[in-house]
Amino acid sequence: MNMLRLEFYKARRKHYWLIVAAMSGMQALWLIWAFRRIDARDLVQGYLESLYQFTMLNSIVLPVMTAVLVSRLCDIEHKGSALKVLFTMQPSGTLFDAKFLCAGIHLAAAVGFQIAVILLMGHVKGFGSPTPTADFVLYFGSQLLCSLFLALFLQILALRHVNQFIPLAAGLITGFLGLMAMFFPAWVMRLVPSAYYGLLSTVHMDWDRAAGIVTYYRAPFPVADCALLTAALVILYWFGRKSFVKREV
Amino acid sequence: MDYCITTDRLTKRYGQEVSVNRIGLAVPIGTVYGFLGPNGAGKTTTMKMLLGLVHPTEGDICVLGQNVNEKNRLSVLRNVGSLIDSPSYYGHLTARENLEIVRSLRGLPKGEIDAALDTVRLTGTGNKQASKFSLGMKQRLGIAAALMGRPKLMILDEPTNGLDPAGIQEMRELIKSLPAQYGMTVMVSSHLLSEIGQIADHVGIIRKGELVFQDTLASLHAKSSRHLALRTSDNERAATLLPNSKGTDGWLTLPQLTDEQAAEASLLLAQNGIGIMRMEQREKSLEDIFLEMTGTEAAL
Repeated sequence: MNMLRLEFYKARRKHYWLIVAAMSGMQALWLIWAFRRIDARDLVQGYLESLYQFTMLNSIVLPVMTAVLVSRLCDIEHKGSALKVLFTMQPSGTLFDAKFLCAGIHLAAAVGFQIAVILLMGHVKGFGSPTPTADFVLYFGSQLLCSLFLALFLQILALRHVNQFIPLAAGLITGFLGLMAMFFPAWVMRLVPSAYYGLLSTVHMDWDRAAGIVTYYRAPFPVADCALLTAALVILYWFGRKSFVKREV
Repeated sequence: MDYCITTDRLTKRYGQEVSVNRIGLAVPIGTVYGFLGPNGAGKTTTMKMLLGLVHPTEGDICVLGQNVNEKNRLSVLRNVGSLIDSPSYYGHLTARENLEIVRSLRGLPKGEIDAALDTVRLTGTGNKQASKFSLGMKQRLGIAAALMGRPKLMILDEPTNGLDPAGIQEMRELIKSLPAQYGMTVMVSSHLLSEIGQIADHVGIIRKGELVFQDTLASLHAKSSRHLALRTSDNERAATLLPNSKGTDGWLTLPQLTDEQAAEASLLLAQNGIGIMRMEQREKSLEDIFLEMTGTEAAL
């Protein structure tokens, strides 16, 4: 806990939360805009539509947000050559853990904020269905899991390379690939980490082109895909941490 | 003699390139040990190995009486302060905040921060962020971080790099005072012979990864053997008359002679009709010795 506390202490005056607030705020504005005119039918499926909209946005916005956040969290260690001193005072693995946790807390706050926005929107607009608590829990868990995987991947890059353009570029490319992957079969999507935002979603859309009607519906939670991403996260964590611990500075 | 640091066959290879080759350091307790060598000789790599920042290819390290390995490294280093290459700091934090991180990681009482700031005269920096410090102040902040908790051993890698003359003088005084004031042992590296000559009791000289000298500074001075140099009207004949002489560059050199022996030699030459044009006593400077040992230009 001391290591995690120190990560937040080091972040003084860096205002990382602004990155989260700014990008989450943009997503909130998007939702407000999308619901500016809403009919009774949309009101009934308001929660599902919100979750669907945010899931799509997340596949673009969260990789970018994660890249900016993680690269800034790691850059402070490079800028002042701090690793040389830190490695003589704390186990390097705990620094890796603390950085990941710190990024994870920020990302959890971002996803939590999205749920708060949806709940507020439901309250203000009067969505005509009960609050889908289970959907929110799955949404929080799945979106956070994808973000954590990306954060881990980008953290490994950001700690390895002094030039923070590398993790930033990787974040942007990942976001772009996540978007593109949606146009490909599921097996292709499974190869792209940011595509899991959509893959793990339990809310899907059916568009009746002839009638011009959009229907949102629930699908079973893709347990296999979730297990696959979790396993990948564990393996990448083990590999990334080990490589960081063995690193010479 | 008790040693604060000893190494045995300490080696670091990067592929085929040998950066540090089987060196056996012996740093006595309570001394300032100057680790001297030209740029790229392996000083920083050696110091990083002592701190576990670079993994030795082979060899053993003993610090403060304990053989250092990956398991006990951090507990040994609790008694070691370090400043490697350039000072480490968080530019967006103040001096106090930077030291708070060190204090927290080392589990030290709050008062340590004021004491360290006071020692390096950074007490008045207030809310100024470290990125806005001068290089000298950053260097002092690095020293303050190393001093936190009054470690038994300080490892300082070129701590005067980039400092102005006043800063160098100040740093020199601080380093010299540490053994007497706090009972610390200081290992300080430099490529500046004059720097080490002013602060160290013991010296280790490293060249191309190999330790070519290690002893007291006094014994390094003792290597500066004196000799007599002569220029005569006939050096060749003079050399046959003075069997211990060697001829180089128009000069004859003789080993250190007593006044009487020198008088006898000059009389002998005069009796044989050889005129002495010049006679002078020469002494190898520390720079010459350093040059010989490192095979490079001495940095003065």
